[in-house]
Amino acid sequence: MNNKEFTSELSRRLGYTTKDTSDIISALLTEITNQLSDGNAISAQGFGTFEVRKKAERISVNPVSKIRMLVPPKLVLSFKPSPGLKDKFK
Amino acid sequence: MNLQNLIALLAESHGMSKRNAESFVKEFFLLIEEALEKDKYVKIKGLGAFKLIEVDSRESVNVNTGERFEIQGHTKISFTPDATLRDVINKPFSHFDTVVLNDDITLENTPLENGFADDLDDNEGIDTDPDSPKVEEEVVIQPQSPAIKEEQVNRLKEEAVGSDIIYMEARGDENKPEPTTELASESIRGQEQSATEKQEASPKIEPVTPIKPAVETIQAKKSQYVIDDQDGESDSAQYEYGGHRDSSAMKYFISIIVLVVLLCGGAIAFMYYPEISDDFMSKPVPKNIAKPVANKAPVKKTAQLDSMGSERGDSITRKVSEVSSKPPVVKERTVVLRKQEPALKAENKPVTSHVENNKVTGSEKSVNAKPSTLDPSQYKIAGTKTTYTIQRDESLTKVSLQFYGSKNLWTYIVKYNRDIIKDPDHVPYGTKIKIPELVQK
Repeated sequence: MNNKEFTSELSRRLGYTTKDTSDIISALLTEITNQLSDGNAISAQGFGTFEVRKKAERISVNPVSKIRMLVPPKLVLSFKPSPGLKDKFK
Repeated sequence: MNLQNLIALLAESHGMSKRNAESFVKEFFLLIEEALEKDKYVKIKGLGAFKLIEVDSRESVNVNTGERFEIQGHTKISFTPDATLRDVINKPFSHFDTVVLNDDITLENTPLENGFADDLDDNEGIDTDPDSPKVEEEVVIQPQSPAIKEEQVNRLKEEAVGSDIIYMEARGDENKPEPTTELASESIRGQEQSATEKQEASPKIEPVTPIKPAVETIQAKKSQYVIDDQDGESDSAQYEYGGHRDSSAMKYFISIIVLVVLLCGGAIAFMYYPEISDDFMSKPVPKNIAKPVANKAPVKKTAQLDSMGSERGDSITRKVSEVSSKPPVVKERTVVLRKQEPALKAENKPVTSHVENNKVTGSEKSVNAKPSTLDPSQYKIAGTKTTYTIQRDESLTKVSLQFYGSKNLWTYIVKYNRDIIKDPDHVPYGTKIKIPELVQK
């Protein structure tokens, strides 16, 4: 299900217009993004948690050229599904 | 940050009622769940993509019992963040670029800070830390031999849910076109990824490409990380010096250890030196007798003087004079001792034994070569020699020295003047005492 389908389905369920729902979605996501960039994890009860994790630097080698590269550390967003959700799909 | 707070923030910023906002957010996540169930894939622009991934059952070993058991085949939920969101989150590290490492640079054990660095050996990009859920390692999928391939795939499976974000890396080899690498990785990841992932990967290549030119330029320069020190990240400092620091630190440590060992050896040698000097005694005999003896002399003298009962002040002054005049005295003694060597030696032995009996050590005897050391037990009193008045700061030892040429004959004076001298330590100024005539037995 892509974004369009998702938005339309959501608007249908809530009774808003597509445009409205997309606006609200973007507002919500902006909120989430702000929280995450501050380093705060977002936990949605019954769904899961979104958290920011730090990945350490490492050396990776291109096996063909044998060139060693130093990959820098980075912050990534990770999602951890809640147990209910996990069980549902098991 | 809870959902409630999120809802409140949303209501506030967007002018929605709290109830509406709540229902919206709840419906939002519910829909994701349902869509995921239905389509196995949900993509939300600005957030990312949720996917259901089938995992085959595999054999595993129970860590406690060691028995084999089977991990059932199951479905897991994977989340891949959107490109824009990813960049926003990585903003603090955005100025780091992946850099080619030359052979001379070795990064060993870059310090562990905030789960920062692990063992950076030439491990061909294989994740060496599979058992730490917190510090997740992103696995780089590279075309490799089947054995390693399988290992990597297994690792992928074993990793925690959130961590199988597969990240396509900019290759150092500019010659290889993008599709080739994509295909190669695709073949390996065939199990895990569906066809859509490939499509997913391709937009990812785009953010990767801007990095590539940077990599090329950096490669040309052969420099380390382009670091824009934001927020005073200590990581940046480590990049520049990480490689070199360790090797020089090692050298430092080794040199320090060597120095310490040498010092210890020297100290031990020093301790043994007196013993060694004893070995040489046969040759420059008197010198060495005088020397170690002289060293002990002042210390022993004070003790001895106290025991003899002379005035404290006198003993201290004596000691001071001894110490200060030690060098000339030592010389004197050695000269004297050399001349009197045989005689003194002979005298020293019997004298020493007697001296010890009377709590006067042999050192006193050997030291006082000039003021003669006479054995007090060898005499007897034969009448009065003369009378004498004690003067200021004068002790019996002094008097004895004056009249007999030896300090340690004061005992006779005390004995003779038992009625007059009550306390041999404190004979007051002006006391008239009788000096006995001493005759050798």
